[in-house]
Amino acid sequence: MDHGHAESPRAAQDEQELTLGEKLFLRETIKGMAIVARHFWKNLFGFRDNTTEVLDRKGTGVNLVTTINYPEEQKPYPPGYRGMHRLVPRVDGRPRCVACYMCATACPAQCIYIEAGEYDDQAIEKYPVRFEIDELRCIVCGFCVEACPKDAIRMDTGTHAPAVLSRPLAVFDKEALLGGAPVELSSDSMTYRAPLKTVAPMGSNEGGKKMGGH
Amino acid sequence: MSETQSHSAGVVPVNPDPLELDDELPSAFTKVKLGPSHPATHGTVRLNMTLDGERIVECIPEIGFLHRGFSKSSENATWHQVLPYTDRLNYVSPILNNVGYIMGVEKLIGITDTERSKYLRVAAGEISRICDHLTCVSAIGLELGAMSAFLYGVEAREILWDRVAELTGARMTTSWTRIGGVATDAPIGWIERVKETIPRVLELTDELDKLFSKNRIFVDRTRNVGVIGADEAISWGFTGPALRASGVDYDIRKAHPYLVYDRMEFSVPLGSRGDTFDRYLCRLEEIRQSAKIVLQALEQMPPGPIIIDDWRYALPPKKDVFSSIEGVMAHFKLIMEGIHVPAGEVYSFTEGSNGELGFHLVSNGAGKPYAIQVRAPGFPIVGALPRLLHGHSLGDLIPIFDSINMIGGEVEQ
Amino acid sequence: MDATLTPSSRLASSDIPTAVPVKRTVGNWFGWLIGGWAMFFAFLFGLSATMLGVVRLFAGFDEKKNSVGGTWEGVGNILILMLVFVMILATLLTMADRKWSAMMQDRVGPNRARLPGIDSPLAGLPHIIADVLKMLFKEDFISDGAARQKLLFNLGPLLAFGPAFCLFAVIPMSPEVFFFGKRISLQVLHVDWGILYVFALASIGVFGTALAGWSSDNKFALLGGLRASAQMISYEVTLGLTLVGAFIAYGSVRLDVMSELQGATEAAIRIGGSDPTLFFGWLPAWGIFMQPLAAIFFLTAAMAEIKRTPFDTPEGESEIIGYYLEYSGLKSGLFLIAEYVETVVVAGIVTAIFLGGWHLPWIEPALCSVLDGLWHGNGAALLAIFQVMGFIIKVLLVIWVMFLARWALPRFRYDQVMHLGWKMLLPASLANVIISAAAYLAGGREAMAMVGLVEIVAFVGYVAFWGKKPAADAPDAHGHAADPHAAPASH
Ligand code: SF4
Ligand code: SF4
Repeated sequence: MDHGHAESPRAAQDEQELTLGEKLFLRETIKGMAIVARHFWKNLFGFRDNTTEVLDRKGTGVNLVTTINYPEEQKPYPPGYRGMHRLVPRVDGRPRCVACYMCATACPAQCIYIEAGEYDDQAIEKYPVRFEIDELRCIVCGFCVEACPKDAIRMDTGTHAPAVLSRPLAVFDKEALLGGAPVELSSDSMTYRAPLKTVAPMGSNEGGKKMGGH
Repeated sequence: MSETQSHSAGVVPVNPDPLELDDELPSAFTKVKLGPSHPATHGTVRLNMTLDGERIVECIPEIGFLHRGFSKSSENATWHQVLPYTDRLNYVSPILNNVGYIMGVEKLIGITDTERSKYLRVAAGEISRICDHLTCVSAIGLELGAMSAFLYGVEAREILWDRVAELTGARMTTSWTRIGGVATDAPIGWIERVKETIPRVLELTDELDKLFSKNRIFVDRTRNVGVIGADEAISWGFTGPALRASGVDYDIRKAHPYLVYDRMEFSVPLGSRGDTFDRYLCRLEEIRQSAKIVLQALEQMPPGPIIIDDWRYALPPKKDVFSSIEGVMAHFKLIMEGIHVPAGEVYSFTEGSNGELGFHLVSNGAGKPYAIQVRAPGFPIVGALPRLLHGHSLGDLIPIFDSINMIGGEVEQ
Repeated sequence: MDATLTPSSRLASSDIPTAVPVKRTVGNWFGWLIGGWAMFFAFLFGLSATMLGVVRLFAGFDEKKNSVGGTWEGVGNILILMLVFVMILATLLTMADRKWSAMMQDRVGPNRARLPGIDSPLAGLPHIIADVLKMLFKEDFISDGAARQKLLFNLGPLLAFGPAFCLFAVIPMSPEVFFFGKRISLQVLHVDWGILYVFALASIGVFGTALAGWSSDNKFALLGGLRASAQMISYEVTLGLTLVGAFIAYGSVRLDVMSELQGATEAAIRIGGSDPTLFFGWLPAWGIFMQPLAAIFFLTAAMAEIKRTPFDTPEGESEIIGYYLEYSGLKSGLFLIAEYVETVVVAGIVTAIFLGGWHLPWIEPALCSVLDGLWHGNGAALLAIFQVMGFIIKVLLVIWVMFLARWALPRFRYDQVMHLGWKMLLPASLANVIISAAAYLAGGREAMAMVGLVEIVAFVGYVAFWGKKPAADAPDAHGHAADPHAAPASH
């Protein structure tokens, strides 16, 4: 029966009693148990390829188990996932951040602390001496990423903030945050004098890994 | 032992009827405090109950354990920064709250979002609604003892949340809408995955249906339990599935269509008795209707921008920020000062998963809201809990409380 | 802050090593499947053989013994049946409950506990040890109010567990058989009052729940205790009445006699050939074929009696938590394990009365003559091992059905439990008594089997066909003009 095209709301019926067959308990009881039993046998005899399809949470084959056996199995986060922050480095490993405080202002949780310092050899002038994010306060809204005018902070690490055993450990400093693939915009060369020798390896995109020094 | 403990000792001799003192076996009422940490009070609520044996004589819900000062906090945030707070109102269907709030702000400013954003909002919002209804329906099962059904519901919700995470970047705290549009467009291939997911969700919903709808154990426990008539439901301020279960045909999506709901084909399930079973069935049926809306919205969605190109309200595209002075300036002003919403006052309402989700926004023209109040759909319904419970037994409390779907976040704000 | 604890250094060291899961393929899945079931049956066979062997060992201490019974055999039986089999099974069930429910609910189930040195969850089995250790070492907390009635408070779990534990004594797990020259059987008590012993002891359990509910000095516990006592007392009536049909059929209340009568006799087994007790020459003479409805009623009433979902109103964890709310540690564990022990006992009774006890259907005489050749004319003794195995498998099956009901069905309300017991099950079982008696008078057990077959056909028809309306014209019974049960395929 197609129940979609009624423009008028559905009429309510008064007679809603169960039929005698349903009143005898047993039939619906047995049907209900059959549904659960079907899940049981499918999962007992089925197998789950725990390396691929579980990540899609699709019980392919005959197994319906959608639970992920964490941490042995981990589901990769989708590309746009707002994970752990990172400070994006330049090709020479220094942060792209110009300490403009935009992210700290946009942050609804006020969990970004920045202390600006000055370059003396760069047109850019400012860089963060301290850049700390309190991941316990962070509500992972992603506003900081949106606010940054230099593409200097991102949440694309594909991991979440790790569990910590004490509160101070959840404050991630600049060294901890700086990492991942460097980003270079075409306009950068006009404002930033890169050293001749680049020290940061390209292409590694792992979160939280400390990259070259500065 | 102090009276404040929920497991306090003894029987409190309250005798309402002096004549009974002469009886040989004077009866006394028992006071029981259910909650705030009780398995049935998902959310944190305390139910102060006076029991006559197993019959509930009086029940006074005590809310506020989850109060976070939403209104006050909002006054100290920019219009944009309020958005994450709304995630946490009804945390089971955050996108609906996001949409509701942002539409209020847009109404105050007098702008509308782009076409594509409208469709995206509708699709994501309905996915959110499905999640909410699934939670409610299956939680009724859980608390009535049918644990498997609950986990089937959660399974369906889980795969939908995966889709939500792919779209918005977070499973629950989505913060996904923006003034004039939405934050992220659907990733490539997302629509196809939703089309794969929805049938599986409906399959699990059907299993819930088969496990409960005709099962006499379930029907006996919910039918004619917590009955509230149409007139009374209206005067208590019921909205949403709880009102429709009483037979009142009021769905904001139909009565005052917003976004693109007027272009969608769906029907509004109605109950006739206003009991717990009708509330359950209305929600169950709304899952199916919402699934239809999702598929229609994805089908009809036009290409185009997802956010308006008005730099007074929406952040400029990143390419302008990175390369043009106008872009940087607009970006800077929006972030540093917030969006300037013209002075005024507006009440905006959308259909949340539990009913009418209203935002009363007051602006004095500055970058921050002057005042924000929420009409939480669950609040009046929780208020009617004593009325719904009246005369029922302790065992009935569970299905009634579940069927009104109290979400601590929105009720207690 | 300590230098070693700066966030950066910590983060560098905290890269979680993710174990790469073993890729499962159809090949090794099939291997696991076959191997798993083979191991399961090998385990059962070993268990059965060990049980018989140990009892034979004990019976051997009794020089003059040449019939079943006797002190030493009793000691052996108590040891091997009640202390080992029931307790082990009940303990395993705590885990089976969790693991099976996980499978029913598309979950993975318990898998975290590890045995030292073995990096495999072993299907959750180490959790049993973990659970027991947890129960043992948890603080035995007694609230102020309960401390005032400490004796009664402590008596509660004992009275709940003790009787349940003793119930298994009358359940026969094996036939009487010459096993290595001694005549033994796996049954503790060979008494004429058989099942009456079960009813009598089971009703003592009610003291445990009532005492626990009252002495806990907690309103929720009190409500639970009241509900439990009322429910247990009510359902005892039904429990007894549902079995009257079976008593009529077997002419005895002894469970071993009842089991014996449901299959080939010892003599027939020795002769070999086909089983002469088959109804109509093809139907095993099991109780369930004579009393199908009684079997369902009994299982229902028994589940209510032992307070399992859907009848767990006394402990409905989302309402009043239950009469054992104030208990902790081992005492709480006693209540929980008592429930599993009762489950085993109920499954044992159902098996003994309705599912043919230890009898294997059809093949017993034939199997015996095959086994005779294997082991110097001792086929009956070997057959006994298979029979014990069969009993255990049947018990497990009944338990599985009970667990299935538990996880699939919502819980009754307290008054509805009473309603079901007094107004539906009781009259139905009375009617069953009359019909069974009439059938028995008319033509003995074969006639009862005839009636039973009719009942089974009617039941299957009821479950599968009755009330099915043609899909197109059915206005939905639930008050919505459109059919919420329509397939979602129309999208
Ligand atoms: S994600 Fe949100 S809360 Fe976290 S640092 Fe960024 S802006 Fe602040
Ligand atoms: S907004 Fe970007 S550039 Fe500005 S302080 Fe934050 S991270 Fe640095």
